[in-house]
Amino acid sequence: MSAIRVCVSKSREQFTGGSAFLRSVTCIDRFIVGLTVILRVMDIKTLDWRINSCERLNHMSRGSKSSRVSSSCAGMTLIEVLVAVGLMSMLTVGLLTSLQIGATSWSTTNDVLVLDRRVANANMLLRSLVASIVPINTRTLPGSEIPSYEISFFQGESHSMRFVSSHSISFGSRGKLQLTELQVDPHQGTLRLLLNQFDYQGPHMLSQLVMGRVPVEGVPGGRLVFRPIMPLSTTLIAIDQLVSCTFSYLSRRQPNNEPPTWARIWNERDTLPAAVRIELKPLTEPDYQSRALPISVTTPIFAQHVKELSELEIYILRKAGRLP
Amino acid sequence: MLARSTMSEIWVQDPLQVPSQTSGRYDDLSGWEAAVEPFEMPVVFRPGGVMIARIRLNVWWLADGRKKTQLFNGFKRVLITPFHVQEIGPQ
Repeated sequence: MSAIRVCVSKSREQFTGGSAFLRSVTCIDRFIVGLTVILRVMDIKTLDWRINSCERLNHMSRGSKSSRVSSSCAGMTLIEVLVAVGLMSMLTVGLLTSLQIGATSWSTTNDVLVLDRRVANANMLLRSLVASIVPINTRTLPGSEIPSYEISFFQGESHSMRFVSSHSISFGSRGKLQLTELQVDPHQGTLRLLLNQFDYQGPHMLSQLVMGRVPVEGVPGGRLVFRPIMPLSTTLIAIDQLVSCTFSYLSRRQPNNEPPTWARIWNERDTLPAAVRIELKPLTEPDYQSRALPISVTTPIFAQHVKELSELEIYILRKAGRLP
Repeated sequence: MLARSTMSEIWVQDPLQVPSQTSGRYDDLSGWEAAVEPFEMPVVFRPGGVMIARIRLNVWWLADGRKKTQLFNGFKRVLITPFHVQEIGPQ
């Protein structure tokens, strides 16, 4: 006959107290017995268990008023043990399930928040980059397909944009001037918007980017052709999972008072656009209750290209008293 | 983000029609209404002068069957044209 014996720690014996304490100790003993049964249930030969600790507890309770301890420690039937084990299992399963649901919902909420923040940051970044455009003059390199003349540097095409901005990805508005490149790039059946930034080194850096020109109707001298924008190891994917992404440029008011128009390609050489629109269409349909999606960005450009005055103009203005 | 984008769309209009009212939709559950009105006008209201126009953009959306709104204000310096003089009139 093998009996299961459970040893209760000596420290528990040091406690003395009323019947409530003894009952709680008894419950703990029952729990320990239950656990032991789980471990050794295969070896059960008898239902007549006696627990060592109960004898000690009986010894402790002799002086107390309670006499129920001895009867409660008399033993446990297999049914009681099975019921206890069943209850324990149900409690454990319930606890684990609720923990899992909590962890999953926390993870999902966190993912949605991260995505929302990412979309908002990308929107803000594009807006800041365009709003901080700096009009930089450069001269095209002599010896290339075009004669050397001064241009206000700005490359504006339907899927590419290149300009100098005072807003830096790393340092915000406190960084150096940055040569900024935006390029729409097809990737795995969708489109993504790539962003490059380089420290501005001087006008020569910009003139090297002009490759030539193509004739365009209505544009004297044709449109400038720039070097293609290449993805690099430092390229930032500003926005991805897009169906379409197109840039358009708002012309400035003409001297003949014609209203400004939006164009897909910026042909002007000596002026910057009045505004830039980046039209974005995300792959998924909008669902504002669950998460934010990229939206189109329209940003006015406040910087203006100022033409250098000729000697004659300076003379005339001085004569008129408008220049010292 | 939607309101800012819409405000920029209205803001870059040149010439900005003052006064004017426009509206649009983002989708079936959300949209916007905008009103452009003179905010500060010069003492002498004539073409060639400058006034400040206020753009009142009201963005609305449906949530739980209720229409919710949020009002945004934007300001722009506007060159006074004969159109403005005709529409608003000298003050």
